[in-house]
Amino acid sequence: MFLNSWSIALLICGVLVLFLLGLAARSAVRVLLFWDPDSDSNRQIRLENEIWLTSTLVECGLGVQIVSLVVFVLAADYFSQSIVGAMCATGSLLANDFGIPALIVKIGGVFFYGFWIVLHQLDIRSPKYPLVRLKYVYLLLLMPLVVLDLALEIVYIAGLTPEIITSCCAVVFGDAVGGGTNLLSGLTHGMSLLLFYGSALLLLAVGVVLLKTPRPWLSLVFGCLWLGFFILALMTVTTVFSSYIYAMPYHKCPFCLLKPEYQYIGFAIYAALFGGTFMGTSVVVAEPLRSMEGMGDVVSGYRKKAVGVALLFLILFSVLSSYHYVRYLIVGGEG
Amino acid sequence: MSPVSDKVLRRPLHVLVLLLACLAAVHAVLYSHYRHRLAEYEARSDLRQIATAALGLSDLCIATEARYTRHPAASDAVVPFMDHPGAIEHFPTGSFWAPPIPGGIREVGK
Amino acid sequence: MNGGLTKHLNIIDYTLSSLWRRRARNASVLIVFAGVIFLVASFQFVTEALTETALDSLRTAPEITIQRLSAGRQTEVPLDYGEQVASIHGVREVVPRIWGYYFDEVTGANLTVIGVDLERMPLGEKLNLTLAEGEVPEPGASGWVLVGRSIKRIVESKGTAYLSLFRPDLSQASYAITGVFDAVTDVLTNDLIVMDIGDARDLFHISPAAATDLCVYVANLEEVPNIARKIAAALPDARVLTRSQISQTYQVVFGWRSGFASVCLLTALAAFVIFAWDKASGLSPEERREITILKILGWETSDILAVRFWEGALVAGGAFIAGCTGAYIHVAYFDASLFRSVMVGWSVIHPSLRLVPSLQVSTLLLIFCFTVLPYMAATVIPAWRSAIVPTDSALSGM
Repeated sequence: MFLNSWSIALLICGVLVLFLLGLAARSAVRVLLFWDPDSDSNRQIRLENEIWLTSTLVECGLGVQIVSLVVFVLAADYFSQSIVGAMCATGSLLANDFGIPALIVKIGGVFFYGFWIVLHQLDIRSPKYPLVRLKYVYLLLLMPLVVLDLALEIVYIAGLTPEIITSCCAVVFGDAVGGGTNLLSGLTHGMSLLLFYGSALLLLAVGVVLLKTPRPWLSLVFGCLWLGFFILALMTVTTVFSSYIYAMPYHKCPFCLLKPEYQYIGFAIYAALFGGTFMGTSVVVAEPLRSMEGMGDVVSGYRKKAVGVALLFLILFSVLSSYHYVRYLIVGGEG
Repeated sequence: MSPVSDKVLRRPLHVLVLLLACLAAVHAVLYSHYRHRLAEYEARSDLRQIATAALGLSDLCIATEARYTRHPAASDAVVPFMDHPGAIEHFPTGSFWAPPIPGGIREVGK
Repeated sequence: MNGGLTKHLNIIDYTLSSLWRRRARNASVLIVFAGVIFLVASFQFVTEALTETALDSLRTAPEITIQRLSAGRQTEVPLDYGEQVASIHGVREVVPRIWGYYFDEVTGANLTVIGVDLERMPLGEKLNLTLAEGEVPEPGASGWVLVGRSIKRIVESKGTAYLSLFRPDLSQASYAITGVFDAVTDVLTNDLIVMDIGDARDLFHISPAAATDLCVYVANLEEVPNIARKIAAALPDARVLTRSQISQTYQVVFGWRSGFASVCLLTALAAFVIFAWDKASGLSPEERREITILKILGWETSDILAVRFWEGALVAGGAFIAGCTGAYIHVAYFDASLFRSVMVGWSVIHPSLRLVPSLQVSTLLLIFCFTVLPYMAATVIPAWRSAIVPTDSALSGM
């Protein structure tokens, strides 16, 4: 199904990311080959200018990647209308083997391009550009991800045909089914809520401690906790909170949240979750750089900011995702 | 004009904000009219559904020039070429409306 | 106010004045860009509104329609088929229908004639609601027609009160117009002539033992695919069409068409991207001098990049708003008149579509992807080039 607007939009986004990051990689190669901080030559000045080019390109690439992530999910939702059995994005993502991997790679792209920006921001705070080599090696390592992203997208779209019969979210995420995809239903309702709120509180506590008494190992714990919380939160939103938002006990789906019927609440929920996870895990990325010359203060400053923002996002996410649940507890059924 | 307001208006940013406010007003009017039309459209959609049910319709009446564009759902993909042997599809809407050839969804049970 | 915010506000201020200084150039980019966005958005709005209408209106189409194919063409269905189908378990009712096309030689219009037994159709008793004037005659009456608004107009232009049609043997049949469909149902009924099934049989000379197709109604909607399969097995020469296939056809047709049109519009987009790239990279001597002076005044490369970013954002944002607004007005108030000729072709009858474009975030995002993102990508490198103008180069000419 290449010939419809959504597929074409996805391909445009993919090609643009490839174009932007490809150009960035080209200057990365030049910088890696000829970078010499002690030199005053014309070439060195040109290379220092190219750093600006790369950062602008990667920033744009990240922007396009975020848009393309949203477009990907919305496109899957659109495809579901012409695929037998699919009622929302879940069905069309499961319609062939490449839907879910493509989604995961896309989300990974958002995080990894973002980390590059974090590195860059740390780098330019210091006049000597201590991270240049690291930054550009990392950028070159991103290239396979970009290509993989586009390739998965193409294979996924190519494999979609209207005849495919797939299942809808009610079947995939429902309680009754014991399928391979269904590791989400292992926990009872109360257990998963307890786990969710418990880990949110734990995260908050670790974050506050980290703000007060910064320790490298604590940063690591904070980052890892965020990663765990990210997965847990996705599961809880899918299995518990979503049905309160839909006001239907058997409707559990992570994608229908993004529909206009529910005031696009999904976008706010996921934006808060992704933002928080990104800021939380970026602390781990920044932490090892402390040992580098002249980076100590820069990293500390960044960590303070990142942890603060991550905690804000955490609170925002918890409030947004539990809003319908709490309202249900207080007001009762559909009011 | 007092010197203060003169100074305020001289900042291009304020002109932009003013422009955005005007745009917002225009869009608010358009949007409210859109809501109104949408409500009306939805309120009368049952009339369309009655007509469809009572007459057993299968298609929208948009292009009436050729039978396969008048009833794309109820005609085969080959219909455009059936009028005589070697017929060439030549209606302008044929390129816009003629059904594609989706192997699986046209025929049940085959 | 926060320091970073003040700085950005000042940069926007500077950007606005610099945009204004080069207004001719920026206006040309803005207008062309708005035009491209207008085309893309109009098309998207039209297809989406039509899909929406099709899905909504055809929700009550017959659950299963049976047609018969002979020599690869659709031909009459013997009524015996109906009896066979009725005996399949789960079938509630089988209603024969006669319909066909009638070419009006005077106007060159292609009309659709439908003969149904309204008593046996679902919601048939409510059909009165869809009539703007007149009403559905009592059951058993004959010689009446209900017509769409275009037919009414054609009849009026001929100056008669009766609708006269010719049978295959060129004998004339006249019908009294007892009702005209409401404009609300135009998108379904504009070219229709609805008459009694007996009259239609007489008009088309179809034998009493046959019909054009059979509408099948099923007791349990879940069973529709199974029953359709059984019918297809029992009647090998039949074409079986289910309601979900009808709506899928519409979805696929519109999806494919809009994709096809998007590919065509991509050429316009590509032309625009090259234009934007060109406009952005041609750095005039004054601009070089301006940037050099800014740098001497203490601006950093990142500040100049920020100016370029805001420039792009303001132009793209302005064009996006203008283009989408224009497209909405075009589709909602002018019935997408620029695309009408493509959609109706040589049709003589032009139903008023009364489209209500759906204003969903997803549509706007799609348009954004098609237009703003490529523009942004095209201007990154020129923006960077202008930001790294070395301080010494431009001043040498002063």
